[in-house]
Amino acid sequence: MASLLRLDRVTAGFGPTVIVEDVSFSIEQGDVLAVLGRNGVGKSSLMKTIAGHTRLHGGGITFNDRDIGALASYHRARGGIGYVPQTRDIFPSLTVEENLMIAAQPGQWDLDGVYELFPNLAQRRRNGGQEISGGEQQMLSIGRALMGNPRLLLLDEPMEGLAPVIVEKLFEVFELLRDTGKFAIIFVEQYVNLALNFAPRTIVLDRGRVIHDGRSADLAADPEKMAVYFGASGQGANAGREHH
Amino acid sequence: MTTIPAPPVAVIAAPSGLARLLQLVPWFVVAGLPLVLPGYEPLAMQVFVMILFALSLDLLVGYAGIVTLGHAGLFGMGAYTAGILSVHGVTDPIVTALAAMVVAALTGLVFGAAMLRTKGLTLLMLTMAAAFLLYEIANKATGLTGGEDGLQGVSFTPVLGLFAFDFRGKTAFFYSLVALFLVFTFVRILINSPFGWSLRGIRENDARMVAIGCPILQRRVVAYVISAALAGLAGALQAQTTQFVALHSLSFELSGNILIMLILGGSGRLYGAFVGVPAFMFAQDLLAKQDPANWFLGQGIILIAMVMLAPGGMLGIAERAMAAIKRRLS
Repeated sequence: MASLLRLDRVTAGFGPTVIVEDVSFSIEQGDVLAVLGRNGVGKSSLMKTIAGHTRLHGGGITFNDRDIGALASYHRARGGIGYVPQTRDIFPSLTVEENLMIAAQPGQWDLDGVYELFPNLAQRRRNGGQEISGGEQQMLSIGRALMGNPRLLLLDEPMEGLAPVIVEKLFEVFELLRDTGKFAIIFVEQYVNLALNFAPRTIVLDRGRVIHDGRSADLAADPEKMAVYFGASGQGANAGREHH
Repeated sequence: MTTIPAPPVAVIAAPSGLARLLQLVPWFVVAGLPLVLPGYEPLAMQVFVMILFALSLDLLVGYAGIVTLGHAGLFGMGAYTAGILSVHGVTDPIVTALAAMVVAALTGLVFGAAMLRTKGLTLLMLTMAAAFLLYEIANKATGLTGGEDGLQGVSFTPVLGLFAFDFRGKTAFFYSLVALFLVFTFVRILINSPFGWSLRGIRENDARMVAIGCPILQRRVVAYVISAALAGLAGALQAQTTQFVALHSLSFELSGNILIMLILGGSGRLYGAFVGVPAFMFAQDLLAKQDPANWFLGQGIILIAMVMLAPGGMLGIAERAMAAIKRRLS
């Protein structure tokens, strides 16, 4: 069976600037992949490239047996790529429910499903997009991506700036989504230990290139590599909380 | 023009039962006005037509975030379509009004598809240029439009074959009031539909709308075409109720004035047009009486004061006052 998503020597960036260089990997349905690396190495740009928000300079992207390298990003979204950006981007003048409804595509996920996953959102359905907490905004952003019934979920630093108790809650939801086996999930995360625990596979970026691609458990068990990738002080590694 | 504020959340909650009936009360009050104030029908129908026109603009400015200084181009297309048809023997008001909507919508489609790829100042200039283009065509095509003299000999048969346009303007009054009510109902349904939400989404963050699978150019063009059809209807009503089409109906002055009326009332608020248009016309009347030569100055001062001090328009002031009272009481 062909891969759900395959990047083949992808080079991309903004305008003439190249940020992601020569990146190749592929994932199957049900896979969970963590993208790690220091600040500014191109993790977010890689996510944007898959979602179609950068300029592709070289290489190819196939999704669902289809070449999507030249496809407009709204076609990619409709084709099953759900992108949750770092900035969340809730529409302030729409209510929670309206924010969800505008992203609806036919499929398994609907309002009821999202409200069941995030009961907070159900309580806040009539509230404006600006009247909810940061954690709720993140839930809304994820819920909105689910409303599009994606097969691939791209999560860009979903835990950034959230209280530990919310982080716990969101990880439970991610585990639930992971365990359905219906999605492939690619996520960028600063909490290295959390990410290594959650995703069976990890790629590490440095200056736009993949410098490591392998089992998360192997990486976690290799203190030398951990120090090289994430800093001698364990920057990032220590910033992450132990999960469970 | 970047100061147009985001409208508040859920200004109009889905009404139900009694609330729905109560919302009809103002319409009946207005419909009863000729009994109390006879002789004001011609002025009132002018106001209705302008409110309808401002509503069509609100769809663009207040909801889709498309600021235009050429909306009179579409209004004028509707006015000339109805007028020219009547001169050439098609004199049924409803048929010509529908024809005017179609012509204005097609005009909106052609210009919209070309212009809406751009944003901000570029788009603003293009909307102006498009309207100037139409104005000059109408100015030069004297055989068809009458040019600067305006289109003479416009007349229409009775509405539905029953109600003739009379000298006192009674028929025109009710005809334009019913049209306004229908358009208002349509716009209210539209902005509370997923299509309407997506327009607000595009206004607030178009990149994000693209990322959740929304073809934003297509949505903007559709909004523009709908708005154009409504503006064309307003133009047709103007031609039918005044039995005349002037070049003014395509003019930049009208494009600017209707935008001022909308901002004065409050854009993105649905009722802004209902407040802004009468307020503007009243102020215009008052100022012109005070100083016929310089009333533009007064109009300018009011506009500047409004934009600086009350970015939400008159309805914005009312909303803030209500919020303050609520805080006091709780």
